[in-house]
Amino acid sequence: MRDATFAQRGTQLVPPQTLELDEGGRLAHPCADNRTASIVAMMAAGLVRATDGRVFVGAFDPCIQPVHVKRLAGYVPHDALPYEFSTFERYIEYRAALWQLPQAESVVRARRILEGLSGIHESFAYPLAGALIALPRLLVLDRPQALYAPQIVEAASSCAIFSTHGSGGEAARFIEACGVPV
Amino acid sequence: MMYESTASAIALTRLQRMAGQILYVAAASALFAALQMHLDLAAHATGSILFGSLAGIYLALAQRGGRMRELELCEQSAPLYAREMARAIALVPCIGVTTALAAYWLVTLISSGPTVAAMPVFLSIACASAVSIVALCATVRAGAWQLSYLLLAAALAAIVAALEFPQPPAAFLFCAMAGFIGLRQYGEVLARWAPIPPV
Repeated sequence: MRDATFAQRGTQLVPPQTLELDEGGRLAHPCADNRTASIVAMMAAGLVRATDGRVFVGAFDPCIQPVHVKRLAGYVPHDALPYEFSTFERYIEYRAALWQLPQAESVVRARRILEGLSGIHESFAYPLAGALIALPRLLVLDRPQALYAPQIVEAASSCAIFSTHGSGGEAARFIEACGVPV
Repeated sequence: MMYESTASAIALTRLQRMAGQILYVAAASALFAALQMHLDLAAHATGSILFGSLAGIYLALAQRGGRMRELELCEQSAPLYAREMARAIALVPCIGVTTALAAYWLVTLISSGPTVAAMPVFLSIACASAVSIVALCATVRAGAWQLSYLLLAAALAAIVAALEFPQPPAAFLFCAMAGFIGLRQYGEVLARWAPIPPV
């Protein structure tokens, strides 16, 4: 991300952001507030296009190749609670269908990931396991809790982890919990 | 239950989440038909188009925000082209209005006997589906643009109701064109839409 900003109807919601994350790296990025943190995470995962500046995920620009970016990145929102799915398996089948993955295999893989996420509340563990079934090369976390940092790093050991935080204090707590550099 | 395709996963999950609303709309539709039971077929045809369109606008607007937020984020983070997503999401209000209008015409059939013709039934479904697709464009817009799409959807229903009896083929053609253009437009707007959190 180089000087990437986001504006809506003339109002700048995200000030210029410059950051870089290498393959397999870890980065906890502090933002001015929760909303900015949420939008920066979406920009990194290709859900939101930067109004100004440049964003590249791998070799892809989300403005030109959003689908390629979304294949590389797994996004875990802050408050997405899969309450309405009757079971975990149902939720994973839904996600596997969206990512065009074999559904039965994905359920088996997700169960294995979930076993490694013991201690994490299901409202965060389910979306995290759902994001990891597609084997992303970049995991984008919107304001994850520092408490869950060790399990997240363990479960996503094969990919780069980028997390956004609503304040410097929260980012520092997350770094302390899992040892990621800012 | 395994999903057959991406479109079926999106549509079935959204339909499941909206099952209650669709049932309420179908019940209201049946009640509206019962209230019209002493009127002639022309009034039934116009009533079904206007009520079906209203139901379509309501079901289209219910596709964004609120209980759909979690699904929205999941769909937006999936590696899908906007046009695929637009087609799948458009299925939901179309199925909803078809259910509501099925309830409407079933009550009309029971109250009026076998005099009901097939043309107004199919035209009301085609019109309500086209209206709901145009109204979907309002869900990814804000301010004046949102209002203009809603007015466009309402105008579409009014034009079809006016065209219906003198020109049924023209009314069908108009619905098909409006639905096609509306779906293309929805896909294009969805591709540029940013699902940022509300203030």
